[in-house]
Amino acid sequence: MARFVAIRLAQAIAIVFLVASLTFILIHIAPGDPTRSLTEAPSVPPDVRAQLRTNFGLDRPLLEQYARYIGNLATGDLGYSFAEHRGVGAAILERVPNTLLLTVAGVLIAFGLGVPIGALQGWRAGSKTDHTLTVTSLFFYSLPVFWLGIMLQLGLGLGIGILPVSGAIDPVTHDSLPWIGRVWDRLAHLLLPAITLGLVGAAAFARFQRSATLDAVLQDFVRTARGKGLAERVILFRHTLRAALLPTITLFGLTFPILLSGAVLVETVFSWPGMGRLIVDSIASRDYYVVIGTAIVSASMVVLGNLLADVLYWVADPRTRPSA
Amino acid sequence: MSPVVVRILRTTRAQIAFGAIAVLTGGAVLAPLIAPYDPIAQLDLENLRLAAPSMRHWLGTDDLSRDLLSRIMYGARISLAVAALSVTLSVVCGTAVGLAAGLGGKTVDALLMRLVDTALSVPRLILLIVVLAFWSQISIPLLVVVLGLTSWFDTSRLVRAEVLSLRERAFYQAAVAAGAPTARMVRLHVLPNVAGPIIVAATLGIGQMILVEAGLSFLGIGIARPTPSWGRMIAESQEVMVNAWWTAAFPGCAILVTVLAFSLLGDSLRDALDPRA
Amino acid sequence: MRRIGAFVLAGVIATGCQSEGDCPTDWCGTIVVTSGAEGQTLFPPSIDDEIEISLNDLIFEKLAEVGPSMNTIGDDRFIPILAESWSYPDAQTIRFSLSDDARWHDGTSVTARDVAFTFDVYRDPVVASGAAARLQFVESVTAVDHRTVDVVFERPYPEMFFDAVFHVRIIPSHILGSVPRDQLVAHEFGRAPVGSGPFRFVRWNAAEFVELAGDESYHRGRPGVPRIVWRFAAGGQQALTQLLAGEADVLNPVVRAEDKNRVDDAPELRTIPYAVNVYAYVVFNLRDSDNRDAPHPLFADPRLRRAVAELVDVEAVVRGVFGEGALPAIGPLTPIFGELYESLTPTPTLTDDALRTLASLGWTDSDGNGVLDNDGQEMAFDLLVPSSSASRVRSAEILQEQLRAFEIQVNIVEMEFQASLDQVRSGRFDTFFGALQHDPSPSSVADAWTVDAFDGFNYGRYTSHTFDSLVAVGRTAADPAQSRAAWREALQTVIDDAPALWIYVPSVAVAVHTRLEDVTIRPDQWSATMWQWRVNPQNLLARDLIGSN
Repeated sequence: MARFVAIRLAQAIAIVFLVASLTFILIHIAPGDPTRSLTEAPSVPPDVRAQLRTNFGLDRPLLEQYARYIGNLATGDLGYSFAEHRGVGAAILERVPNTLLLTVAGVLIAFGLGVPIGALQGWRAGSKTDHTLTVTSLFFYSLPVFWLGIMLQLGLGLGIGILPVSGAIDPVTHDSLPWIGRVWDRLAHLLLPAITLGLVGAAAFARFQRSATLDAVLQDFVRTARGKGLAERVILFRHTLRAALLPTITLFGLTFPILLSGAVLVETVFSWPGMGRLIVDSIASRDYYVVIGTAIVSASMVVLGNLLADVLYWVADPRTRPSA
Repeated sequence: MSPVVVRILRTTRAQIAFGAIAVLTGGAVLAPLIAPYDPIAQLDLENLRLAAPSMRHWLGTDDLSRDLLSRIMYGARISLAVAALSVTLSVVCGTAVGLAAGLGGKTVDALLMRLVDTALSVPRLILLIVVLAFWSQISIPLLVVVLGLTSWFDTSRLVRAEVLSLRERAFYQAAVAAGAPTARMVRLHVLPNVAGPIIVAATLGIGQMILVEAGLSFLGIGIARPTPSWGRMIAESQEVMVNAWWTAAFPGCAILVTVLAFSLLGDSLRDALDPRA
Repeated sequence: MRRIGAFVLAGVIATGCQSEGDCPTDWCGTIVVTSGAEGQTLFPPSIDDEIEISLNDLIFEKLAEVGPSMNTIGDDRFIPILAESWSYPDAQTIRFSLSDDARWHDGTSVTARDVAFTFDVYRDPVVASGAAARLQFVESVTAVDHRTVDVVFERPYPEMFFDAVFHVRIIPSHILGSVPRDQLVAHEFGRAPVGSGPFRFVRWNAAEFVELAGDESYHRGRPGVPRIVWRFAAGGQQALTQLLAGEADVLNPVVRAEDKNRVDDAPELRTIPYAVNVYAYVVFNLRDSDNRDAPHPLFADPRLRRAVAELVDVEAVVRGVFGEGALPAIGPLTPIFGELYESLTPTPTLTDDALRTLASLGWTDSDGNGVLDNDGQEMAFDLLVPSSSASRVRSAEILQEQLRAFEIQVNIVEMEFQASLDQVRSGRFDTFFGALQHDPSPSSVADAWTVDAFDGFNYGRYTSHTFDSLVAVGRTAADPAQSRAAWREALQTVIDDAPALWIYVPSVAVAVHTRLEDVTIRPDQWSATMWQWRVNPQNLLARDLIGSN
């Protein structure tokens, strides 16, 4: 199995490399120029802008810029952020933990809500409960995630005033709190964005889990168990759920791209200092290396998520494990 | 009518979904005839800014005194057309690439599938923002093409898998050995098998496409003004929604109902096409 | 005991309740400012936006500052800051004496060498400072001794003193002197600056906030509060939500009437309106958008421009976007210019005259497609609008609709701000919805429309020799009355030639928490006195009791 993981890792690296290359080409041939954020004042004469382009090697042929970028990348240098006046690595590193926190919290909420609901629906397929829950989860599945976010923000945050409406921490009080206060501060700020992301995800998980459970219910061993007169609870927990959880575990790793897309919107609604906002801003300002850097990081998260899904699957069901 | 369609239409959800889609499509198609106002006309900036819903303006007006009901009806034309056309494009592309990968030999297959893997590893919204960075003004055809060309990846995998499994089969190998043309084999054996899942995915895809368009508009990457699109209407309502809830609520409901209808329909289709049900 | 206290406090804050308390010392409180965007750098020569300037004024010092009277000619009523006093050894030299007590936040004294170094950096083309143009007549800057520095100009002129002090914030040579010039802009100093102003930089969490700590030993007196936190929200609406939720105390600007009402409805918030020196305008490109050497097919003709200007009902645009809250612009300047502003005659709305003019120029809808045409040319053009400005986008939509009624087709092209500027600077546009904030001096206003400003603010390449020669008189005339008359005539010329549609002067407000005191606003820089704002010690929030780091 280790060999397969190694092969998959190699494939993952190749994919991330391809993403970096394609993003490099796309963003460089798109109209626009990153030096303009350095020379916003209109009084800057054209020769100064030309000088800046030279300083940053932007006047070199594209192929040469590409070769140099890849060379630097191999040494772990992600390049320079024109907008933030610092290394891309530092800029991204400051954001990634926040986005990870948000997406992981989102996945946990989605999983924690979606799987039990979906399982219940599958187990009681066709019942009134099933129908109600189907419509409810479809409702959340059909909402624009940013709209849900704004509604929660206005309702729970601004309206009732129980939760903070923006940011990841309280910038004034956070550092002076004892550790438990700091944890609570983070949690309180995380709650609304994570719920927004989680509710939409939960709807997707529930839909998936319902059909997985339904599949399991219809399988022979459950029928046999019922035939033997085993208690329903035993059948549900010992046989059905175990079989039905497998496909959902796969989904666990596969939701990353969806959640990252959602995070771009949710971070904007809640002013969450994460990578999503960085991506949008950097594309707008043509901050080339930040665009590529964030593409590399998000692609890595996605392919690692896929790999994680496979490994989880192998762990849960040894029969699917690839033999050496 | 084919038995499948009959079976679908028998369920309540499908009837509701069909009904909703019919009303929406009807409203969209007939908008020029039945919409009470010109959707881009600023009726009266003095007295009709942010007018609450009333008999004259059923859904109220926005902050430029434009009639919301008319805007939503015209917006339906845009949202539905963009979604339906881009999904169609994506199905065509996905099928073509899937067939090419499945039939085109090892190198082509490997190349195409690595491309698909790569594309799928970039979150959809981010991919779209990068690609749309090329244009300063986004027209409807452009949006259709970009949305369509960035969403065919899953379809191509599905079709390819079907082709590969077909090629394993003895009857296919015998037929090919006997000189049966590939096109005929594809038409007879591949397309019918993948049609069901593709139709289901496409139906669900229409709803998701509407959500994607809304998300892009929220980030300020939307169709050029003053064309009304639901996503842009919500994005713009942000500034006034606390004082004028209708500006956010009704476009939001339009999206909700539409996506819900297509999701219900997709589910019904899946159940109907699934032999177990 | 303290730990328990802090813990209870944490609970109180986290649940959003606010409790009053007493300040244990005589210096308490944190001012939380929020804005809908984030600064990019705090390196003084590179700053250009509102947020960066405000933060710079808290961290760094100028030699002197324009006084509340806004006079920019001579040195009348300028306020000394880093310079304690100044004198004139000869007509073209200003000799500044620095304050003895000025210290960098790392403890080092501020010296004449720092000042000389700063001017050198600002004027270095490699640094590409936006303020360099203002310093083009500076010949040399030399340290006479430890505390005295001479700024020598090529020749004396009325706004010489203003140019020497207005944009230049002194930076530390002992930290930056050894950095190669081409690396200064990218140096980490820009995100972790060391200044000599009332507030010391503490930290900058990207996409979250900048934290500043009051410098108790500041040579012009202790700042009003021990701490300022400047938050960066993801957009204007998010910033407003933050303010209304009590997560911030100050928001600038509040522009729309709806937003002002919401702030005023909140019992603990108030708005302070102030006049800003900003005008929004739609500039016509007088050159062909594909070929700068050829005239624009529509807008090269001043009669046509004037006719379009007369068709637009600017009042209606302004009311539609701002309600009562803004003024229609009459020209490229704002009411802060007082008499000069009052003396100008605006372009009236004359629908019938304008339509007759257009008809006489050959514009009719001959093919019946609802758009005027003339010799195969349609009266249709693009209006480029930066998408980040909601007010401009809204105004553009109203303009579009107004002109549609006269069969003139406007295509709104929204673009990210930087991208739109790029497009405009390269001449690839028909019309552009810009907004300008000039220095509070008439020469700064006029500069935008001269031939010399083709690569500067004169985006549309307006060319008028009458105007240019009037500007030359205004700038050099020894007699102030003659100078003023020349400015007046120059500006009236621009207004009548209509190289742009003048749209609005926003009436902006700052939203502030009612517990803040001594809040005064200076029109050219709203945050100029922020370092002295205080928190009412009788009316503290729980978070005001937390000391600074």
